[in-house]
Amino acid sequence: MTSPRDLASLDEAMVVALARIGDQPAFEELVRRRQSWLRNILRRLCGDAVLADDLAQQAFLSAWRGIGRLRSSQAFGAWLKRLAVHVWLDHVRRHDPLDRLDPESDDAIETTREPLAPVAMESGIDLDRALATLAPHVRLCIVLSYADGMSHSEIVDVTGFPIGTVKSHIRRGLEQLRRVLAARPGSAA
Amino acid sequence: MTSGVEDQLRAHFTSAEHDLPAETFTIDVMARVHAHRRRTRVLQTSAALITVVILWLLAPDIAHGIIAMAGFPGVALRLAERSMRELSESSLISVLYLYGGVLAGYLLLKALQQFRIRWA
Repeated sequence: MTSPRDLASLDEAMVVALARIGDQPAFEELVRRRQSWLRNILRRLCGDAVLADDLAQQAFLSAWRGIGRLRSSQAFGAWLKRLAVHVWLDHVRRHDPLDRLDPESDDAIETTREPLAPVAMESGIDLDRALATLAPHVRLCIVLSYADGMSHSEIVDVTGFPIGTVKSHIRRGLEQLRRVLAARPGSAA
Repeated sequence: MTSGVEDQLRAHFTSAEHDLPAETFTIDVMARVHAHRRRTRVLQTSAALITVVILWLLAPDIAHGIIAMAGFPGVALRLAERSMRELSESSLISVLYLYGGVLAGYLLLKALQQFRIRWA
């Protein structure tokens, strides 16, 4: 068992190695270090801070259960992100029957919520609300690409979607965002 | 126009990046971890106890089975002698399978019976 003060000075690979052998304070240190990063990703995906925090907790619990099977300490960040994405996708499947679509299908691009009325956009650029009009799989690809700066192949690794689907989701998601933003009163479009 | 949206997205996500306070969230996560560990320990202890109880209940039957198995070579030899005269090699194997199957079925039925008594 390592003291929190010692852990704070260790690099992440060492802390992960300790957590992999069941050191609970080491895992707590990992939560402390990674929580803001993971919660921010999930907040962008959900658009709901409370839900995002709950999903982030589920992701960390999954991490605790599976960290012993993690092959490399260096891979912890990508692995945690993959867990978070899958926790979110599971949540979407459970709570939004409209999203039970094949992510490879073109239908997945269709909005699952009503597009914002032009009057709702009057208060200025509201990208969060525009993002909320995207189907979950599309929003996921957009967020991972533009918020997290991931390449297409990295998104494939995290989501398990085929590369063609990822490219298509990003391209068509951008087009849809452009349409929604252009529909704002006073926009040039 | 799409590149304009891309720039807006990047700028928006960068500005929306917050350094979120860790303490309450970490406490909540570790509470879930503790609860998970408690549940796991309870389940593991229960499974171990159930295994011990089942083995204890089945002990007499297992002992009978072992005795029956101990007598099996003699039976097999007699069957083998018969097989020299009456049985083909394939039918001897069938008899052996039958003997093993009856024993396994008996043990399975006794186990199920004990389960029904204890867990119904």
